[in-house]
Amino acid sequence: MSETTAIPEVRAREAERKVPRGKSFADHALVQLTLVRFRETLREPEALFWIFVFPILLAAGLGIAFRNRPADVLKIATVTPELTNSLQREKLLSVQQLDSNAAEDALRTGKIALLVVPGSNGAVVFRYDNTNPEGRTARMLADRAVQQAAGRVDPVRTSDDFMREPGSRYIDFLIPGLLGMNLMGSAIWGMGFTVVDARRKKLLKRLIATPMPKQYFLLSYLFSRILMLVLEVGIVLGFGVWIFHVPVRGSFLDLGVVCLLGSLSFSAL
Amino acid sequence: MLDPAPRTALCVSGLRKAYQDVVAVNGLDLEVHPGECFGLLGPNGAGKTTTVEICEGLTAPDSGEVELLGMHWSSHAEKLRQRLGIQLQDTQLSEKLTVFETLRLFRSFFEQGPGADEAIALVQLEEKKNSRVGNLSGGQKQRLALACALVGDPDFLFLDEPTTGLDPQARRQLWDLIEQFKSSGRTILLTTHYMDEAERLCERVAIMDNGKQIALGTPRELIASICAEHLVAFSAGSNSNALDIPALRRIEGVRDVRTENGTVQLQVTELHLAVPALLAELTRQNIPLTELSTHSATLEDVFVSLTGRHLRDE
Repeated sequence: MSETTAIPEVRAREAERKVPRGKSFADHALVQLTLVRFRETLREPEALFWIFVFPILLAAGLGIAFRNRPADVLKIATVTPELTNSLQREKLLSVQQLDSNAAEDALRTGKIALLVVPGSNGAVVFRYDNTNPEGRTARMLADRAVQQAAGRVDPVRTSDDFMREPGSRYIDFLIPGLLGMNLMGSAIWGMGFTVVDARRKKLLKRLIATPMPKQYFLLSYLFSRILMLVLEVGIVLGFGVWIFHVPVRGSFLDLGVVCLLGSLSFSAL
Repeated sequence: MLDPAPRTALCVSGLRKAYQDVVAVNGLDLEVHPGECFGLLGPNGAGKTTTVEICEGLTAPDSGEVELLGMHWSSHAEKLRQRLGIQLQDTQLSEKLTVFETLRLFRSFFEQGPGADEAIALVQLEEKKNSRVGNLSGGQKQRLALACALVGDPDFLFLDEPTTGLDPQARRQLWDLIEQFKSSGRTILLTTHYMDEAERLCERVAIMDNGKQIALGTPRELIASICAEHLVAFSAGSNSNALDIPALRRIEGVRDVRTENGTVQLQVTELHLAVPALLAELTRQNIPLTELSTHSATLEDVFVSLTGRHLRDE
């Protein structure tokens, strides 16, 4: 049955129907659907918190808690000013001079790692717990200081070259993990949950009752996910680079592709 | 072959739909004329919503034909969608969007029709234009749902229980809007279980029960069909057991007598004769009257006389 068989009244009204006006880009169904998806996400305070604020808080918290500290200075004690003098040259030791009772107490209670006392015939005695790594380290450092102070000359000259480059720290492994977690969470909540919710509220049925092309509905989810993805990854990564100087080695294109694939596969779940 | 132009906006024949073991619609025939407001009445579970959803192309019937605006869902789904305005029973629109954004979204699906601003003006929601849907009252939400149905400038409007759960003022406001739309010459199919709504809005009414049509006509015809213009209800308190019902039936002008929860209801043609006669009869039977009321017959009474049940009974 064609339109020519339509009822007269309807046919009359049909003649009145204007030729569809040229719609602006913003009035395109797909643009409107995507905008709506985007607005719905941004107007959900909980979603915003979990997507943007939470990963940053987590990164900041863990990044600070596990940041690399400068090498510890070991506390030791002596009982004579001469020993104190010679040991103070070693920068990795913090030396204090105590009377012998207080020094024994400090060693027993673990306030110092090593106690240096003069032995007979100008010898030096190290008192420490040899099962404690700090005590052993302190002994080596103190021994070197005492020997050098007494005039020992090392046969081989040595120097230190410290390796503390960004890229091997805790935070450098944390940020990519957070990105992954974020992508999973927002993909599942942003897609599966909202579609089910729309169905429960009969909104899906209402939309199907309009001339909305059904592929636009899914495409709008896809586009809004990609938009959100740029924001999510950008904010978390930007935070890491700016505050913790996390280096990005490798191309941003690869990063984009991996994020997109990850997001799509979790959306598909 | 000459195919005469169909005189109907909607023609449903032999419609059947069963859900598992429940038969929701059982051999329904309907005809809706162009430009009329057709009411589909019935209690909850009568099959109204299923019928409407089949007509809207949302549910496939098990058997039967639906012809809408001279087209069929199987061959003209896209074209039909453009020309229908649909309000579903209790749809929750997205609460996070504003009224304007919601209408702009719905408008974007249609080729033509009033703009979002125009649609907001149609349902008088101008002050709420930028409010979130979640902050609207029940009546405002229903008006927004109506605007979503009007935004494609539809030829045929489906309204599924548009005023259920609204307060009287909001219902009257919505009725005014529906009447406005009606006056522009478009066709409406309305389902409701409010009889006063159907009496006010609909030119013709079909009463449904258990998936079947049990009566069809104008509200006036239907009321006339029970052959009684008035109803008299009285209560005799604790003496109602002693009541001589057959004697009441013999009173002039009384068509039918039914008792329900201690209240006796009489269908009466001539109120001015029947009431004095009833009072005299009760005095003769020595039964004191505790309550007496009369009202003009409504579609509700039609339903009661057809099925013996009230419409709102669950």
